[in-house]
Amino acid sequence: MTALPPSLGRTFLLAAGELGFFSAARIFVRETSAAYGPDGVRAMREQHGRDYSVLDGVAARYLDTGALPGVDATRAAEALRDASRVLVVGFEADALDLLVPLLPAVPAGLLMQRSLGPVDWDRVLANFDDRLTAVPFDDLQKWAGSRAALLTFVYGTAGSLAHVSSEWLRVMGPDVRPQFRSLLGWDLLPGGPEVYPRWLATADVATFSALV
Amino acid sequence: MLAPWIPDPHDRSFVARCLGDEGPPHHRTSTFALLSLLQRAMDLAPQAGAPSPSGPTIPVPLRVPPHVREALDPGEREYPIGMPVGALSRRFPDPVARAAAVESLVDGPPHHALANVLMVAMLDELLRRLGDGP
Repeated sequence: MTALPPSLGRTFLLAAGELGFFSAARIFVRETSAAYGPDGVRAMREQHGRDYSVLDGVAARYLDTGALPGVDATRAAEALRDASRVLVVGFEADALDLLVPLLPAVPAGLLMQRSLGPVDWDRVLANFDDRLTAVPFDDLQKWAGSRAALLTFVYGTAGSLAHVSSEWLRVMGPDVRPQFRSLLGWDLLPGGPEVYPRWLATADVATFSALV
Repeated sequence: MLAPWIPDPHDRSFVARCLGDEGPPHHRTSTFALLSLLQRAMDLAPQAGAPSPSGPTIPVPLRVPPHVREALDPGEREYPIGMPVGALSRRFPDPVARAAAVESLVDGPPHHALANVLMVAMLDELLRRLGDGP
């Protein structure tokens, strides 16, 4: 088996904390492939896929198709076009890099709540040139409104269940749900991971007002 | 069913979700049953056709804490449907009794309050068709 750097797993977790599982997985698969070829990507799945199901899923698609899974923000942007504001729960750098510029008239906030560990929020937000406002958890409801939207990222569905980051479960209380017009899920990994989605939580797909 | 009172499709989906997906299952089912019966009554009433609500309404506030409410955009502090007060005003001419009825109808969990509001809206329309009011 291809020998990979022993710290790769810990490094991936650090990157996923600040970039999101999906965005970090795309980088790690791309760079591992560039450095070690497809055998390196297979070795990464073997060694770290069980721990990091989104990394495993991205690697599997890369090995199947020869390409990284893409990110298309147009459907999410269309779903949010009429919103007065959107509060993002969870974080995916690749997705938000595309989405935020498509919504120049819609104020966007990022809920400062991550279950993966400490995050340098200043560094995360610096990439968006003030287009993404940091929102402490206590201010969650101040983003509510009859035309406001909540957005989170989905990592595939299995039947009636969607794989989401656990932050979404913190937010989806019965008090908050009727305070936002739209509860949007953006599925970045349709079909989901092949292995048990450790580190992710499940939510009923019916908890979204729309899933794109 | 909601379109005459909530023309915007996004707004309509929001209220429909609050009515049909939120709150306890027995309440959702009750709401659907009662609204269906009211719709049937409206269909059978004289002057059948799509309602064209135009009378005075009162806003239905989003259920958020007071300090949060102050932080919200003034245009987004209410649900996108108002409660007609024409029939209520005729039935409760005393302002104190009317205020108590109105407050009770729009209070409570959103799924409950919105169901009340829609039922009042349909009753307001139904009574108008039966000759009660303008």
